[in-house]
Amino acid sequence: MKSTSHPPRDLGEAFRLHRDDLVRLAAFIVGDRGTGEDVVQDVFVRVHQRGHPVDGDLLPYLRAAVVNSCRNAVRRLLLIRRHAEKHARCPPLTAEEAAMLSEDRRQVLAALAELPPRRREVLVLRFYLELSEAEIAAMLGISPGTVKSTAARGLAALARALKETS
Amino acid sequence: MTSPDEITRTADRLKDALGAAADVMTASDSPVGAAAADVLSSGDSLVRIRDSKVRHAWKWLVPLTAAASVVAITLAAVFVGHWAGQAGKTAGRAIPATSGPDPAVANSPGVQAARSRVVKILGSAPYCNRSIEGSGFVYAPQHVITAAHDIAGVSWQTVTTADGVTYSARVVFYDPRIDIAVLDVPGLNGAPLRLSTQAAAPGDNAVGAGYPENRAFTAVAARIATVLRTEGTTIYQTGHVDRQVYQSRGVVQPGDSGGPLLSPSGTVDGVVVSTVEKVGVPASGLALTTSQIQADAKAAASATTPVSTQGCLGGGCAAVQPLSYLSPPSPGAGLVRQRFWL
Repeated sequence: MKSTSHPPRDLGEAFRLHRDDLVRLAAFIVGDRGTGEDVVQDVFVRVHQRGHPVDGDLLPYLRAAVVNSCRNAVRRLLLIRRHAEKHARCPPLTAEEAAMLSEDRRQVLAALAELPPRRREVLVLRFYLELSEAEIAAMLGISPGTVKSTAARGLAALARALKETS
Repeated sequence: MTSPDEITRTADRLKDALGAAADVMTASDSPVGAAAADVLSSGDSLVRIRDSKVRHAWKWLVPLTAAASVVAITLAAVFVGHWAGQAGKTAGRAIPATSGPDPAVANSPGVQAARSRVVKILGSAPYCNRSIEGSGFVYAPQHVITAAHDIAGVSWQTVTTADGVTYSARVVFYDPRIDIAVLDVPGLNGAPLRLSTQAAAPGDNAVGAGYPENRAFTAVAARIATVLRTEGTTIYQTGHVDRQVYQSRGVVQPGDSGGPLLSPSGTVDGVVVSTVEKVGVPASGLALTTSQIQADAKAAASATTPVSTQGCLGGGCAAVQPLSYLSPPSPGAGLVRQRFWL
């Protein structure tokens, strides 16, 4: 990773403002709360130590860093699960938090968690962060067409899964 | 086939569910979050602390994810303020260059004699969907101290001595703030270990004793490096807690947590709770000091009424503390993260 001349002087402020949002984002994408928190923590640690290449608002940069770190985290998680049958899944919401949601919403979140990682990632960026296809394409380094088709397939899979459960 | 209408409806439901979920997800603990933010703004560097109870799977993963771990750990530079017990004075920022542990102390007569009073704790927390393992030690007649995070949410547990005798046990004291719990173990005889009355000093020999990874009794030589104050949250991440800990060289393996940090004469200097890691720096462990656990120890020494072990940690998942923060009395604060592997 390249280092830059920008000191992390605004990082504390960014942490205060965005940490919780970034954890939600990471937890939805990874499908695992603890891992999501880890990812965000590591991003802050990295930026703290190496600086960042951004003038002004750090949020887009931090989001992109989190989303990209999520991909490695997902790979690691799959590896852990393969080698440890007792590894518990930690959904993005704790049991107490989930209890505050309607059954319908819980079903949607559960179906989302079952999607393949790339589809889940695109759907979360599209429908949670409400980024445009172009923005998602830039963030993930893929074409807008791929974003479009991945989102469409993801939604179709979600619709099918929800039809089965209801 | 799924109709376009259905796709649109699904998109709306997804948007709605994600928004609602985000609303109910609890925010990080604010005082600690604020402290972390301050450290991030300053030039200080970071430390990563991990509970000593690492799940078994970890060891399978070590070769597989070595590269990833090295990267992750390298990111966290060990940077620990040095607190020599004199409030307001910061002696230094790095771990002092005391020599490594003296392997001979692990076999000292005092430690050998303490062996029979260091116990393995096994249990089950079906509600949390997990089994537990950890270490502890007899500190009062038929009473065993361990770490609260070891037994969070358990419904039954047993205590096994170094000789392999197993007793059933009840939790009679549970302090998620300090991370201390006490078990009442009827039938567990033998003179308790004594808590050291004098604080250990940097450079002192010590021995970490416990049952790493549910194996046989293990004593590992250590050396006290520093005395620190850590600022963090309770094990449930609710509210701000200051704790006094020893940082020691060469101690703590997975599963040791709850076990004693012994002096060479066999008295208890502290209760092992977590590790600090960094590539290229000798491993170090953190143990609650005896003065930190004194009040809890006293309160529970003859308790016999069972108490709740409260909630699971992270609902059966690894519980991560938000960025928390190791503080010497002042400037050399380091940002830490504390993790309980369950």
